Parts: sequence; structure tokens; C-alpha cells
Amino acid sequence: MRSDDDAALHAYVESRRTALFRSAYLLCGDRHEAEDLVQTTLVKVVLGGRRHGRLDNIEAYARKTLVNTFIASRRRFWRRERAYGELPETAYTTSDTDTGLMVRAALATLTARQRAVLVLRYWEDLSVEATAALLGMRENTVKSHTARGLAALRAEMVEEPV
Amino acid sequence: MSDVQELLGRVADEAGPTALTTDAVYAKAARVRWRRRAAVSASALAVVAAGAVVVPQLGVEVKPVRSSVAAPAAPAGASAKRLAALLPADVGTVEEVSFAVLLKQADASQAKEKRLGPLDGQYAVHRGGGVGYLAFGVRDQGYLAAKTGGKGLAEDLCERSPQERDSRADCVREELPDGRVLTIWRPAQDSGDGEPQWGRELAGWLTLGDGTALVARDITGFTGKGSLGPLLEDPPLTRDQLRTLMLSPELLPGK
Repeated sequence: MRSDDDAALHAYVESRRTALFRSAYLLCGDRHEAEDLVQTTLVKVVLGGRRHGRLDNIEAYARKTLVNTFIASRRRFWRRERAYGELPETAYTTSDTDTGLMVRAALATLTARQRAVLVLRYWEDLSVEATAALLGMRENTVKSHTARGLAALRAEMVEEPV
Repeated sequence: MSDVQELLGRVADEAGPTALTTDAVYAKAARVRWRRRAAVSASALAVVAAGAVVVPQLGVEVKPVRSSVAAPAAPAGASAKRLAALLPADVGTVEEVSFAVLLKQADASQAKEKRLGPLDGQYAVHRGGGVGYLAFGVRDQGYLAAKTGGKGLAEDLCERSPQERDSRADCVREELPDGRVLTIWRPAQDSGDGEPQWGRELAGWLTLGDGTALVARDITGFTGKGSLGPLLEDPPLTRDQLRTLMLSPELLPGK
């Protein structure tokens, strides 16, 4: 019989893999890369096993691993930034599809760390303090990355009347 | 800033569901764990996967056995795929392993064995976060004679003398129309403090008309050094499923 810890870990993987996949997709903008990123993360979580202790520790570890693995992947010189989507030539009216495209375009203009900050702050809903601790950066750096990310979003979200 | 979250949500929605399953994560983790323990190169892993053979002993301890006839080496993972194709769809994820590596910390050269049956070897079955095992081996007359002191296999494997220490609970002996005999039983579970500690299992012997035998183990797993994960709640295969598999021609030489 599995121990309670093993069962809890298994349940965590089962329940969180989709949410982690969505975060990974926001970070890298590519489904296949996001799948690889999540698999790498969850394998490390499983291998860590009972060292993590409580479930909230597992969640923190998984989030940190996901983001840092993404950032490390962008440091490799042979990886090229994939475009999130075609940059719009003209400003579009705001429909769901177009909004998604514009957000993707905005994210594509950010560095990996800036993108990570935006995802952690506004998608994962972490505080400035928690984001700084997770990424190993100063809180002021988090704030400046946040400002850059928001500015990029505003620059892309241009509305024109139909 | 819920509007920013909503905007990010539009992009996240594009991702759709993930194709990654929990079983796939655990299978990958087990493979990483195995590689770390074995500390062999990718080519050495292919050698291990192609050649490892273990005898399902009647007692507790598992020992590697050397067969007399060489069988062609298969690409790493090929045997697991062929075995998986013979198993029920919900059995779990199957990967080829080596008990010699896991239990004895053998290296690739020590674990390399010849095998008689096309699917001889040991396989980890990952299911629901646990890891069970299937092991198969075709034993020739020379091996059986050596193991039985020249006497050969007993006519009825369900009959045990009082001197024989292992028990065979729920032993069922089946004479097949073609003269072969299939015997499946439940060995006594491990007790004591030794390692590894094997979980519940089913054991099977299929005596073939030419004096050879196909032996099989269907195990919930083991704990202790070398373990790839927690025990399964039940063996990977039910008794009926084990019977069906052991009667598959794909497990016999010449297929």
C-alpha cells in the first residue's frame, strides 16, 4: 500500500499538471515546449519525494522549478525565442482571438525573466516579495520587471472603433 | 489587477488540455531514478535491456542466471513495447528493467545475459504511482536439471513435501489439450528483515512438451534498496490475465 505521503504526491501531480501546463504555456508560448517544461518539473517533484513535506511546499517547489527551468532554457545560446504569434501589422479591434494575439505579442517583447515576473505576479497571483524570493531577485527588480511587462501589454492593446 | 489576469487567461486558454499523464510522469521519474542508480551510459542501458535474465526462484532471493543459448539483442525499449501490446490496456506503463542492476547494483557487463525466450527479462509496471514487476524466463532442460539435482520438475508442482520450505497457496494445475501443463500459485509473502522485501505475487510455470519451461512472476513490487517506487495494491496482472499471457506464443522461442 502507498504511504499517505506517496498518495498525496500522486494526487498533487494528477491535480496540478493542467494548471502548471497553462503557466508553462504563458511562459514559453509553445505547446510542445510547455509539455516538456511541465514534465521536467513534475519529474523533479516526484524524485524529490518526501523531502518536500507538506503540499504547500510541493507547490512552491514546483512553481520555482517550472520558472527556473524555463529561464535556464532561454540562457542557452542555441535556443531561439519563438514568436508567440504574428505581430499585428495594424491595430485590431478587441475580440477574444485578437486580444489573445496582442497579449502574446506583448509577452514576446519581454525577456524570459520579465515574462516570468508577469506570470508569477498576475497569473499565479504571487506578491512582490514571494516573486522576488522565488526568482532570487530583489523586490525592486521585480517591480521594474512588472512595470515593463504592463507597459508592453498596454502598448499592444490598442483599440480602434469598428 | 484582475484585468491583467484576464488577459493572460485568454492566452492560457489557447493552450488547451495537456497530453501529459500522471503515469507518464512517474514512469519518467522511475527511468531517471534507475539511470542514476545504474550509472551506465545509454549504450550500456541498451545492452542491459537486451540481455538481462533472472530466474523466478521458489524462495525469496532472486539470483541472476546464465542461459546456454544466445538470443539476438533487441533495441532498448523494444521488448517492453512488444510485451505491452500483449497486456490489457489499463495495466499501466511498462518498461524493461534489470533485477541484477536494481537489486545487486550490477553494472552493464554483469547484467548482460543471454535469453531463450523473445520476451525474457524483467519489466517494471507503473500504475497509479506504484511500481510492480513482471518477469519471464524460458528455462531449458539443462537448467531445470541443475536446479532439481537431476530429477527434473515434479509431475505436480502443487504438491510440496514437508521439507520444502516455500508454500504455494491457491495452487492451480491445469493440463492443456496439447500436453503442456500450466501451474499458477501464490508464493508466501516475504517476512523477516532482509532486503529486498517482496510484495504479494503470483508465480507461474508452463512446462512445455520438449522439457523446457516458461516461468513467470507477477509481483506487486518490492521495498528496500533498488526499489523504483511504492508497491502496487495488486499484482500487475490478475490470475486470469497471467494465464492468458503465459499461453501467448509470443513468449516462447521461435516466435
